[in-house]
Amino acid sequence: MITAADGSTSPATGEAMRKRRVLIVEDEGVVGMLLEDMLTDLGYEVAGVAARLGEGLQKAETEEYDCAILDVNLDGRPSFPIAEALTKRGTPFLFVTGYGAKGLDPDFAGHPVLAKPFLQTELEAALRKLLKDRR
Amino acid sequence: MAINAKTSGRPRATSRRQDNVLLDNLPIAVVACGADGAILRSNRKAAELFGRKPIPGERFDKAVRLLKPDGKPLGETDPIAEALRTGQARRDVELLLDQPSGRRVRLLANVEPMTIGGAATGAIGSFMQFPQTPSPHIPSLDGLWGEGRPRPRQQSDYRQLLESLPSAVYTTDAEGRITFYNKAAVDLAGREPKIGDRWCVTWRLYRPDGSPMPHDQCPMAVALREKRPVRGAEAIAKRPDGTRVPFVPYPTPLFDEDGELVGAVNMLVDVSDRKRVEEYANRVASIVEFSDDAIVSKDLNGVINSWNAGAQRLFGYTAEETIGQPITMLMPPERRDEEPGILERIRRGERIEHYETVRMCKDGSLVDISLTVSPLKNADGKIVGASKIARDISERKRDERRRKLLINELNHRVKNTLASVQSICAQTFRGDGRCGPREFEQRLVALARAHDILTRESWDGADLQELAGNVIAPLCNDVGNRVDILGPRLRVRPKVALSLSMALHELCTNAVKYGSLVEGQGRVELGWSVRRSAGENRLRLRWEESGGPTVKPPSRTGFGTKLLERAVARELRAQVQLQFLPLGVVCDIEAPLE
Repeated sequence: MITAADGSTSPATGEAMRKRRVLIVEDEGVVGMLLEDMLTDLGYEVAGVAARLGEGLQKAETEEYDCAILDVNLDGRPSFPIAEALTKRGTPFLFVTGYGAKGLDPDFAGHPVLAKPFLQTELEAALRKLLKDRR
Repeated sequence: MAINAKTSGRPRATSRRQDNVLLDNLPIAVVACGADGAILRSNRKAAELFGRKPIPGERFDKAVRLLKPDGKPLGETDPIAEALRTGQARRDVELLLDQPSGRRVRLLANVEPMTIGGAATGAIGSFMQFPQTPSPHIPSLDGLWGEGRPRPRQQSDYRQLLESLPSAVYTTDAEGRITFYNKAAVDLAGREPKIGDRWCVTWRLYRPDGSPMPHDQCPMAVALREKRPVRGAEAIAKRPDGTRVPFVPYPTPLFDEDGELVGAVNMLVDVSDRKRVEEYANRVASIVEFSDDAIVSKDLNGVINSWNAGAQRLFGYTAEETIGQPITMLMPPERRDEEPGILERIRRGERIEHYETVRMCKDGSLVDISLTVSPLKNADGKIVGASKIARDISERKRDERRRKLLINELNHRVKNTLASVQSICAQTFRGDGRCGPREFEQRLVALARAHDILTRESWDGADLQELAGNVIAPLCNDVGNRVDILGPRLRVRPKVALSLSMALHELCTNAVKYGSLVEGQGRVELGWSVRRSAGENRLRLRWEESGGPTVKPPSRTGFGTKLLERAVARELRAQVQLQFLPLGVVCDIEAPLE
């Protein structure tokens, strides 16, 4: 862990201490805020926030992220199309959901899931594993 | 005249002994057996020939050790068993008999079954030793029924055989006057007929439909008048005590050597048991037919051999389309492998209960069923197939799925709400310390109130006016005078309601603490309108404070600002403009209503 210039600890190693860019797709505004704060605290850069499917899909397809955090239910619609788009681009992601791992589409069974509500340390561990597995 | 009138009628008290005397004096061994092969009666000659006295109730094949002429065991060719099984008479069967003493004798056997509708209800066997034959001809019962020519000197043999029959038998002369009847006839008629009564031993006769049948129209009368045996008739005898007995008559005219009609013999077979069985079978059949459940039977190869209306309703196929087809036609391809297992268990005699599976209907749709499969046995107790009762449980399955979905949904909402609370908590307590437990509480209560409205409306949406009033009232003592709420009636969907509740809560708290609701004079105007633009209805909502202390923009971004500018803006795809103007805070929210 490297201490970044702003004083936060950064999971970024090498690559000139570049902060990892994270996409948040979460329809609950208040929960989105929480994720934003937690990620900032953990030294990540919140590079995109989307609250709905179309917006999230567009970001996932066109913008570059190191990883993404996907709420499963976006105002009643499953976020699986975004998951597919991310998979296609090779962007690692984890689900956050109130349904638990059982609510996942079978196509994504076994994918990392963070159950709401979660601790900041749990988010940290999940992201670190996600990015490490990638390497 | 074959059967002599002098033998007719007899005092009841002595009948059995007389019968036995007559029977025991027969030169042949006679054994009467029931349908199950158990011995009913036998005569003295039988005891002598078999080497021991057969015990009534004992099975014939256990009482008497018979062998094939070559000394091999009879197995299934025991003539009594064979006659019972096939309903066919066995004539002049040559056999060996091992007596208990070890002596082996040769026999000639004749067996006449008593049949109803092809099924044997009993049999009478006559056996004589070979070759010392006292008479060249052993009378078969067929002879009695008029095909042969009974000889006068054998009269007593016939009478005794008639007496020994378990069925009601009587004879008449050519005019139909009763000349003889046996005990079984008295039992069936429920009375002792008077000699000279005509046509029938019964007291009153009825047709199967219940209408009275005059005696001179009874089948026996027809047989005598038309000089032919009458078969296939059915009638009901009423006894003097009022009870009724359904029976099948077998009236047969008798002729002398010149072909002259001399009389007739009639056997009345009590079919109450058969009737009961038929009624029971009819009842069962109608239960099956009108059952809501699909009831199907199949053989051990899985071929369908019955199909009720319930099955047609459930699966869509008619009986014609399914009988003779493999049961696998109902199984979706991926479940066809269930059948060998089911058949295997049925062959072992197991019953499969409430097995939940899926079957395919004629239209290709799948249906959830609960299946009970039981082995079907034939009369010998051998498993020959299976009955399947299938109950449609789609409804229950749908309910189960719905319930599961509801629980999942509830779980989802609870967890999301907890995550929101977690976020509110984190936001409230981080930062400059201006907010503490009181603010946290207020935010939770505001969130809960918004939930209340939604719950009351079954999460169908909420009225914006009511919602705003609910948020503001607990925070401001003088809502009526200091807050104007101006806007058309508008129902907003749950997501918008929750979001706006939290937004208004933050604006109002801020106003009460630092803005126009602090002191006596200030006011707030909350107004909204709906406009249609770019193909969608857009809500424009304005919160405008006035008359309060001069406003200074906050030095850092607080929870309220973040909530409005980020959470609400993202959630509602809204443009949110929050201005800390010197005259008062103004917040504009413009969001699509969808």
